[in-house]
Amino acid sequence: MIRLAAVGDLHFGDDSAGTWAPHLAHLSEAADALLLAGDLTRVGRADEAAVLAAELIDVQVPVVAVLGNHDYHSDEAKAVVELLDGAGVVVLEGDSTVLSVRGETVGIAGTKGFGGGFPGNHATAFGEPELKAFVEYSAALGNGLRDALLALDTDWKIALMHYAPVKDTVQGERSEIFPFLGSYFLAEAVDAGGADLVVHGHAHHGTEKGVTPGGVHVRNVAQPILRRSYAVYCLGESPDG
Amino acid sequence: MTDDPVEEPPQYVAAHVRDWLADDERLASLDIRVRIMGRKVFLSGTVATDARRGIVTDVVAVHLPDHEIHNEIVVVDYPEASPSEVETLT
Repeated sequence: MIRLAAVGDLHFGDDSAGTWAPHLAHLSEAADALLLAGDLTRVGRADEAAVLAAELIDVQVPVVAVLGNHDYHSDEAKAVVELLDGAGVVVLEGDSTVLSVRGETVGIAGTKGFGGGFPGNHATAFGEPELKAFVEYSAALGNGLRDALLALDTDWKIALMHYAPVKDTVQGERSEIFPFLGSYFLAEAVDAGGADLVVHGHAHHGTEKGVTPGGVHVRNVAQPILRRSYAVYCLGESPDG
Repeated sequence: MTDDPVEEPPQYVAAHVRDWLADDERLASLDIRVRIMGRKVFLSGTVATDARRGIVTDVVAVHLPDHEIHNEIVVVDYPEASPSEVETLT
């Protein structure tokens, strides 16, 4: 059995020091790893990432993250990644990492993902170059995720992303903004690449639980939905049965 | 036509308020609900700190000094997950 803690949309700012670490005191007893589903910062500044990195420095389990749209806002994403890396956080974008948990291997593939919408109401790469670029960027991130998942040969596969892969977990948001909340390219990548669980954020007013068309569990862990410091998901049989 | 946003239909004023709250780097908030009723602005949603809640009022007051601001935003602090909230996926 593996236990994964997950949360997204922390939106750390320079005023966030000390707000989260107290709530992580029992994390290593509850989970084998912590997944961060993007929007780690308020506007993607390096000083905000430094505050979060300091908050995570004492965490005793592996921490794996993707960035979100907010983390790109100030064009300091490279510095954000470096600061998190310095705190031991593995930041994924179109690649993966493998953890070993009590003899089982857990592969985590990640991407920020992007928008475009869900089948029937999705954007198509047609017309103006700007719209083509929007859709092609989203498709490329989906393809990167698919390839990263396919390359994993592990007991468990987890897909970590910021944007939503399915409409299920954005329900609660206004339907007019669904195309800005996620893309079916991500679900298609998960179903083609194989995964046991998808974790994402971004849709603060969405719904925690959903499923891909291929039957993979999807969990929206945006903190305003969880209303707690993190969620914990267990995969596999407990040693106690 | 006028450049004064106060003279605009309330729907546009509400859109501007949402943009101001997103553009202000101290907030970068994309999901605060804004309602305009005459010269009253009602703001609701959640933020992480008392300071950010105050900044929301400040930002709107700078742009709409003639409006009465009702800040109904809640400051949230999320507790640590309890063992009973663990979900086993099958």
